[in-house]
Amino acid sequence: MFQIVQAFGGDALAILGAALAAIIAGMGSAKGVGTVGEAAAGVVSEDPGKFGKVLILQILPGTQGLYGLLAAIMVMGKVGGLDLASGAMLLFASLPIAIVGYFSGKNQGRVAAAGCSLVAKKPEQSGKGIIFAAMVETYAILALLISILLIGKVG
Amino acid sequence: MAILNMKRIELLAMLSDSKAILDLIQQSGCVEVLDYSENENDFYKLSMATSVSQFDKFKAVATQALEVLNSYVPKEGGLLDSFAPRQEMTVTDFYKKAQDADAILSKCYGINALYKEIQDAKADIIRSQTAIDQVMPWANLDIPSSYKGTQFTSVFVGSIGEPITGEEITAKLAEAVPDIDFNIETVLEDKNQTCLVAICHKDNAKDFEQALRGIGFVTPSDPTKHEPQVRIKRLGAQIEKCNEKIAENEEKIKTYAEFRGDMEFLVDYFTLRSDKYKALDNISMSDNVFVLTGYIPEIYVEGLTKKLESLFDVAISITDPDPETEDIPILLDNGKIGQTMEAITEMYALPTHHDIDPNKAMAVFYYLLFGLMLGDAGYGLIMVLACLFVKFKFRLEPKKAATVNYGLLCGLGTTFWGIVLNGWFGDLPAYLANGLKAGGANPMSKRSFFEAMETSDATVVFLMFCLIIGVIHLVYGLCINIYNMWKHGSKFEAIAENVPMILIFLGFLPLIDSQISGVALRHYAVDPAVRHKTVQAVCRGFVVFFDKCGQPLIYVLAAGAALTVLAPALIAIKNRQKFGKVAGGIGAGLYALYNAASGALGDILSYARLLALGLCTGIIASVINQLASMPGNPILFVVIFLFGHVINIAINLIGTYVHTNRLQYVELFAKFYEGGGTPFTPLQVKSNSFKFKEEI
Repeated sequence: MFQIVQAFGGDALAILGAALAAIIAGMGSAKGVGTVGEAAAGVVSEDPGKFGKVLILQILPGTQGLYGLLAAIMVMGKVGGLDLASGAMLLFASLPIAIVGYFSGKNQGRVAAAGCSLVAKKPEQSGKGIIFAAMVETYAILALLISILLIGKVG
Repeated sequence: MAILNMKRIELLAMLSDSKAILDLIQQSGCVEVLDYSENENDFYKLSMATSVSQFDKFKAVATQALEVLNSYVPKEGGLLDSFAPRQEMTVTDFYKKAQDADAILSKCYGINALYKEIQDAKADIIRSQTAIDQVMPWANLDIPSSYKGTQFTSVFVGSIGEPITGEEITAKLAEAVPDIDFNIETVLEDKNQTCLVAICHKDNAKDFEQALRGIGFVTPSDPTKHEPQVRIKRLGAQIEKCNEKIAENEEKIKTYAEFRGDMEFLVDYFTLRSDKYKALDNISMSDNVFVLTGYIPEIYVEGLTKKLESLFDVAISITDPDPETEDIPILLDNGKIGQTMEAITEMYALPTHHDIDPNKAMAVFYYLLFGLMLGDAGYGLIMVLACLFVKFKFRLEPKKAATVNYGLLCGLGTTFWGIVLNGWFGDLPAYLANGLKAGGANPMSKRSFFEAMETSDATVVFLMFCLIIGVIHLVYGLCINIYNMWKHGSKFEAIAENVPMILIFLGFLPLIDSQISGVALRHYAVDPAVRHKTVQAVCRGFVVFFDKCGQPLIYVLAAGAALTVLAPALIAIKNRQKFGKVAGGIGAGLYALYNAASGALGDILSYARLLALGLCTGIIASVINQLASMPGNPILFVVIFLFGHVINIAINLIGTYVHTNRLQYVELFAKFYEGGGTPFTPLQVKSNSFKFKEEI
């Protein structure tokens, strides 16, 4: 039993890390994109011409999911005969983007949804709505950065 | 001069010429008419509100008619046609065409009337359908549902709101009124209701009806005069008629398609008239003359004055506006490259007359940062080709040309970094070299400047590059601020406020090395596994630089910190302020140091997004290629490849656009740019369908 864990446990932990990065960050994005989508549909129902502007806002919280995917892919590149310690390290290295990605995506969704109402009232100010939303993303980027650097340290 | 110099124009002319002069000014489009409010010397104003609202109403009519027409006969042409130039028209043609305005307007009214009939017919259909639904349960009844009975019998037509069979009803009634003879016939039994006809002798009608009501019997709310079928048929015919009406009106509307151009013209025409009358609202007049004041960019002054003086009896005076008391509107004039940035700057805020126009200054870094974040030569070339195609296919009007040039330059920046970073649709060359199958070595990898996946050291080295680019960008912003403040005369402040920050930013360079890139950089610089020797050479250069300059730069950082603390006090001394202020300046300086240090760190780290977004595009592109190669079939490869990369381009273009703007707004603009200017809104010809041929 112990031998099995030693032989395959590392890979399993690493894959768990990759899965968590994709799952949790993806969940945050899904929630965020969903929130904006609802607000965006409301704006479009009043003025279909604003579709392009609100679409950009809707896509914004989607990037956290991409970052999670990115980290997952980088972990995937390391899988194959990992020892237990390295596997655990990769699991921990995946956590920053997984967790921060979730909250960043979710909250960016809320800011972007508020941006949609900004677009509804003052379409010429849409750029500012986009920037407000982009602010939230900074922390996902920082988390992704540290995840990438940590993943790079292993193996 | 990127922000155009504004002059104030004051014009006095005969009242009889007022409309002609305003027409000319509108066509020239270079004067922002101001409200002339000095009501002295018997000058008065004439309210144009009635005319303006009249024109706005006509415009609304024409706009609605155009919308209706476009919904029934969609305008041909795709996305590309939006780049096509507007039709040119001479002023004479314009007036000739304007004479037909009434005729076109009546056509618009015609379309709107037809459309209203369609809407009414649609409402009628819904009404009839509801009525049919109500009478439908009675479809099998062969007497009118309002039928009350014969000479000796009473007939009750109605329903019970629950599923119940005829036998059950008979049983219940027999129990309730055992002495009465009656007959029950059900017309419909479904899960919501049971429709039935009950007959009894007239003498027993009252008792029987009470018994019926006792088991939940109700009569229909809208009983029919004839058999229900008659009503159903009548309503059906009505719906049919409405449908015919709708089809007929749609056909009629379609015949108006040939007037679409005229209607577009009409919308523009009424916009023009409405704008002009709004301007007329601003002028003051006496019995014989009128006065108009406004702003005019200096470069147009001569042309307009000459033109006006040659055609009319006018007295024009041009004066300098006072920037301290007036909110002088802003009009920008940049070269071809600077112009492409104007939309980005406007989204933030227009400059004021105290600001420098940031457009030209930000352009260089903008496209470099954009390119670095997208960083794929394949994607860049697609952008370049698409923009070149549009550029050569259409004779673009200036605003659209700026948009296309913006795309073109973004594409060039992306191609540049794509070549440097060796991204060609991710790692497509590797698959091409191997017959679209996985596992080939990237033949271009020798030329690669950086391959993120090659070693983990490379990622760190790339991060270092990104942060160094950030430092350069930030120092650049501060240098612009020095230039701007120097030009406005506060030379001492320019140096005292900015140089310490520049020193602090430069002082952060060795910190980047020691805290982030140190080990990885030194390892990468000598790693024999690194394929690209030039990169290694560059990295060795960095190692030498950090080893030699690291220590001195720490002193620079310290000097910057010390100067930050002293700067407010120095400025106070220079302005010969009291000792208390100077001492207070030291406190302010310490606070500024705290802000500067944390701010500088945040600013520099923000450029890590260059790495994150660049990697995001590149790695996902590679994954797409990997997926495409899995089936091992060239056709499937192409299909998956196209689908995947189109999505990857779309998502990353938006991300890159947003984050490049963010770096401009938050990191760069914070260093030197305030903004908040009022845009120059001249009285002009705002039209979508045509433009005047004459340059006035």
